[in-house]
Amino acid sequence: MKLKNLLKSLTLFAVLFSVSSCDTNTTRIGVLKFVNVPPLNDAYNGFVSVLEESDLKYKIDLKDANAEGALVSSSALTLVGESDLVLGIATPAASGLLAAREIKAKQIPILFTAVTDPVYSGLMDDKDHPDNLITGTSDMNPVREQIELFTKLGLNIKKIGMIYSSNETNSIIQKDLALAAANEFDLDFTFKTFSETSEISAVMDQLIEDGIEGLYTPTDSTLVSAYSAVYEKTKVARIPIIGGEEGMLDQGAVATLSINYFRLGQLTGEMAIDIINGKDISEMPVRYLDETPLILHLEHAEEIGLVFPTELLQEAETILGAEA
Amino acid sequence: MGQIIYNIFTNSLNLGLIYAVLGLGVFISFRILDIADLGTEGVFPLGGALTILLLTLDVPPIFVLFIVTIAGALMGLITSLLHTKLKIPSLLAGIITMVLCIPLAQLFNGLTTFSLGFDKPGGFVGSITLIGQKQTFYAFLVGFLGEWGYILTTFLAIIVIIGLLYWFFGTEIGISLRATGHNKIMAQAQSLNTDRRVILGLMLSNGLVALSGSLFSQFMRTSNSTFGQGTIVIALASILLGEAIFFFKNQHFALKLTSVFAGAFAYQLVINIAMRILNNNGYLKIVQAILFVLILCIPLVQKKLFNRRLKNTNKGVESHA
Repeated sequence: MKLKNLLKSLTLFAVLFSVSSCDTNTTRIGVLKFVNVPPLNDAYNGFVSVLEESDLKYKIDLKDANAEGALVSSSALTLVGESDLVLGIATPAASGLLAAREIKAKQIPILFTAVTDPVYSGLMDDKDHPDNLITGTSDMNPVREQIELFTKLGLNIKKIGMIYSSNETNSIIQKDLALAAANEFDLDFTFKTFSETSEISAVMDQLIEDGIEGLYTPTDSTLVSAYSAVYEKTKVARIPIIGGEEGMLDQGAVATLSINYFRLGQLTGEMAIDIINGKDISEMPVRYLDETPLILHLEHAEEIGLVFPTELLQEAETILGAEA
Repeated sequence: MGQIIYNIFTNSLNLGLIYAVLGLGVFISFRILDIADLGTEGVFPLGGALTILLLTLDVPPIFVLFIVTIAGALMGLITSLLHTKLKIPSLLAGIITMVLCIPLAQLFNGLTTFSLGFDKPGGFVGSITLIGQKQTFYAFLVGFLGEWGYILTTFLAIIVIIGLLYWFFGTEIGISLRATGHNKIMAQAQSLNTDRRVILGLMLSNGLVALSGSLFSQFMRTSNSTFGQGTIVIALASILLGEAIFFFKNQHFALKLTSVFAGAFAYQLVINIAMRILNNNGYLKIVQAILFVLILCIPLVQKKLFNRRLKNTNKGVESHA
């Protein structure tokens, strides 16, 4: 039958394709990226940049799961089957790899990055003592310090709001932290969720009607993909946004304590090199970014009539959107 | 090299078998009842979310499968009642159920995190992982056979499902259900209550879809409310590819059911091979689209080539034109 012939020729193709890559000294690294968004791409690029600088012989196989269950599982099974080390970028990718490793009954190390809370997500039992050949880096942003920024803007903000996607486990963790921080700094806190990006405008209207004076946006890849819908509303209502990560400043946020995903990827790459060089994973606790520099955006602040206090400007490591 | 072919084969078998259950569910709505039920994309992750919740609460895996199937059937009941009683077009009725299912799945996920002591009740949670020590439906055979334990477990489940479906569609009510899908007006003329058959058929269909979601979640030990994305495409491709493979003698009903399983495996095989040739999964989507067109064209080509031999087969295909 024709179909059979097609399958045969495709198999042959695959075989020819893979013969060239068989080499025993090379470490085969499989990378599963959950979805194609800038933060995750940055993390991947950071990871690769560290490996490129090292003198290791390696070969990377990158698979993008397009946020689909079927692709997460078939990509994870493929990668685990033929790699010596695997990296999962974002939580669903990491848990897919974990399941695939169990299915294939292989003892290969798993690294993860861009996972907010690996214990909450069920990837491991103890962040400080990985006992299951899985460890990595967390993109937990300094939520408390970011909320504190509202009090430093010089606007006498009393009530803040937060918007996030109900699909993202990471955002829920950040919401709880933000709520605790808001209580600490005597701010009224209100939050609204959306399940589809088309709802963002309506949800933003509700938040603004509630009388929020500042908006906090967590590291939420669904939200990031439709950030302009948030910005349109806050610009009209003249409300400042504090972003969870650096990328949001280009899209309308006025300030953040930055999580640099490229740097996070580099951190993960360093861990990968340690593992390849034979370091024991149980001695490699989950790592966090140690520096979170303050970044401000002058143009976006100007648009809503915000003038940053001098001490904040002095504290800032980077100031974006200044007049040329 | 041998390792790669082995991996392609086992991966396709693992996922193909799980998606065969999905394909059988959609086969009932799409082929037997002639209804396009988009509720599938919501019922699949709902089944998965409920599974992880029940397993976390230490419900025995075999009961989990039953409970999840019943929950899926209830979702099918909603779709069918919207369609038959409120006269909402089936496509829209399915979409309504899908929209309803996704937050429900997130609520189940939220309950799971609550039961683990992480969260307050009533939270909507997108994705969760089953904690390590909980045993799934697969645990028993995997203990003896490793990776083949997964394959054998799903395979045995499929045999039971195909057997039950074959028996059911041979009973009086099953045959009347098939008659309803084949020609509704004729069935009504035979004084059949077609609404009741549609309700029953959609319940059965959605029950199987939820069961497939449950198997997938146990296999991957995760529940994610976005995991329904693309399931309807996988199911339809499996059905159509199966029909293309068994085109020459698909009169027999048991063979029709088996062809869904063969199609699901073949589809996963093609996807898995394509995934290796194309390093970027972005291209895979384009390949999937082209593949879909090709699969849809197969009946037409076959008709042209084997016109005489096929006069009475592929009736289903014709009735959709």
